[in-house]
Amino acid sequence: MEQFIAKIVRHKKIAPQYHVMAFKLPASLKKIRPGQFFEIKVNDLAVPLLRRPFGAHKIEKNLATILFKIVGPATAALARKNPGDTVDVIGPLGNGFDIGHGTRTPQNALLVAGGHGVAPLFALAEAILRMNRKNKVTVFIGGRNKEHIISAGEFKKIKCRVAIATDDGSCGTKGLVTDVLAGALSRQLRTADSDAIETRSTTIYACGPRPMLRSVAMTAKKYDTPCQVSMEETMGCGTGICMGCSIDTASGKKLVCKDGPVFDSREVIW
Amino acid sequence: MVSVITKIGRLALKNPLIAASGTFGYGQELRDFFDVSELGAIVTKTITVNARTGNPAPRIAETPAGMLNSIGLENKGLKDFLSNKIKSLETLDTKIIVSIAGANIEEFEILAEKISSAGCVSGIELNLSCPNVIHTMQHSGYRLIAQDKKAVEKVVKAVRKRTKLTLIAKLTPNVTDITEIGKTAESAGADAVSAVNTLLGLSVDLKRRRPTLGNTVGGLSGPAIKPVALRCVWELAAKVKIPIIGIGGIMTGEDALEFIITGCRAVQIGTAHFIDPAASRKILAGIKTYLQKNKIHDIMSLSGTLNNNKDK
Repeated sequence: MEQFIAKIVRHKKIAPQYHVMAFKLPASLKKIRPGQFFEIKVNDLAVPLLRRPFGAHKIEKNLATILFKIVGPATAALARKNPGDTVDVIGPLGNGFDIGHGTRTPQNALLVAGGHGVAPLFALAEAILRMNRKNKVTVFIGGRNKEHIISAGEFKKIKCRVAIATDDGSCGTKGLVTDVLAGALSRQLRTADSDAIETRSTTIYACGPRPMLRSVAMTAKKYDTPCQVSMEETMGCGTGICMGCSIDTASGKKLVCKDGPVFDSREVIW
Repeated sequence: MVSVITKIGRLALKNPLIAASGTFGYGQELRDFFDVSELGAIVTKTITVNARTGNPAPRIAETPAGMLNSIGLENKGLKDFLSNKIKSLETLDTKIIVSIAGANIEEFEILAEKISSAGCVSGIELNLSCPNVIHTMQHSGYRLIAQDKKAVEKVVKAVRKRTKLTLIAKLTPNVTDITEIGKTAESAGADAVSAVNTLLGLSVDLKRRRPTLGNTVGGLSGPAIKPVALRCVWELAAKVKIPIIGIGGIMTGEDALEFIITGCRAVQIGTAHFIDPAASRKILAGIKTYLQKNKIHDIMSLSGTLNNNKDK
C-alpha cells in the first residue's frame, strides 16, 4: 500500500447516481487483487473529513477504475471531478478475493451482487476468466428496480452469464437475487446439467448489503458450497488503526479494512 | 536553525508532536507511510488488564468537520501487550508513552507496575476520560473518572506510588470546570495533563430514526472540537503549573502552534492520522516554516504567550 496523488483520466456517469472513474497509479504500486480497495480523500477540506473506501472495479496496468453510487457529500464531491483533476489515494488496501492459482481456479464461479456491489466483482470476473478461459462465470445482480441494475452489459461483454432480479420486477426476475442464486444451485444439484460442471468446483463470491450477504452465506451453507463475502462496515481510516470497522467472526473480532474486506462466509458470525 | 525540542516532566522530546492514543496503534501499523522516529513520542492504544472486545458496530460516524467513535477500548489486554507489543515498541526511535485504563484502583496499580518494569517505556498516560466506557469505580453518578475529582485523586496517587515514569493524566472536556480536575491531578502527583479527550456526542440516522452508532453515543474528535480544546487549555494554563499537552483537531502546523501559544508544551495528533498517516510530518514542517519566517529560534519561547485582549 502507498499514499499517492492520482490523476483522474476518465470519468463517466453510467446511470442516474452511478459513476465510473479511472485514475493513474504510480509505477511502484504493487499488483492489485480483485476485492482490494482504495481510500480516497475527495478534497483537502475538513468537510467531508474522512477518506472513503472504493473497491477496484477494473484493474489495468498503471490504471485503476472505481464504480460508485452517490450516497452522500463525499461521493457527490467525487462525482464533480473531471479528467485532469487529482485525488489523494491510499491503497491498495485489504486482502482481496482468493481465486487460487495454477489449476486450482474456480471453474464455476457464481458472483452475487447487490446494487453497486457489482463494483469489485467485475475485476474478479476478469481475473477468473484470465486464469482459465474455460472457467464459467455467472453473475447474479439484484437491485430495487432497473435503475439500480448496473454493469450487466459489461459482464455480458466479457462472456459472463448474467441473471438479474429486481424488487419490482422492472428488470429480470421479480424478487430477491438470493432466491435466484438458490434456484440455480438447486437446479445444478438436480441435473448435473448441460455444462457438465461439477458442484464441487463451484465457488460463490458476493458483495452487497449485509442482509443479502447473510442470505447468500445461508444458501452456500445449505448447498455446501465455498463462499467468500466482501463485507461492508463504516470505516474511519482504512489502514487498521482506528478499529472502527470491527466485525464478529469465529476467530474473534476482525477488521473489515485490514483482515478483510473478503471473508469466508463460514467465518462470519451473522 | 530552529529548535523544536521540548520537555514534559523529565521526558525530553525531539519535537512537540505526539501521536494520540488510539490513532497510531502500537507504532508499527503505519510504517509503510510514516517513520515514527519523526515523532517526539507516541501514546499507544489504551491497554486494560483483561482483553476487551469493544462496542457493537457501527463504531464510526462522520459529522461536520469531525467524527464520532465508539470503539470502546478494544484491545488484547496487558498480557498480550507485554509478550507481543513491547518487543516491537523497543525498536522504535521515539519515546513510548503507554495509555492505561483500569476498572478499579487495583487494575490501575497492576498496569502501572507491569508497564513501568517493561524497560522501553518512558511515560504513562492515564486514560481517565474515554467516553465509551462507563466509570464503575464507585457509584458516584459520574460517567467518567475524569469527571470525578475524588476518583482522579485516588487513581493518580495510587499510580504515582508505583511508577517513576512521567505520569500524564488525560482529561475530559465533558465537565463544568476542567481546572478543578487538572489541579486535582497535579496535587496528586501527575507530571502533566493532556487535554482534551473526545467530547461526548450523538449522531442520528434520520432514515432509520436510530442513533448512527451501535453504542448510541460516541466521542467527537477532529477540527470541529479545536475551539473547545483550546478553551480548555487556556483555562488550565491559568490554574496548573505542570505541563499541558494539547489535543483536539490538530491538522496543520498552525493548529499546533495555536495550542502551544495558548499554553501547551507539546501536542498530540489524533484524528489527522486517520486521514493522512503522514500528517505529523506535514505539521512539523509547518511549525518549522512558521518559526523561520518569524525568526523564532526556540519553539518553547512561544509557549503560553497568548496575549490577553485587555493588554494594550
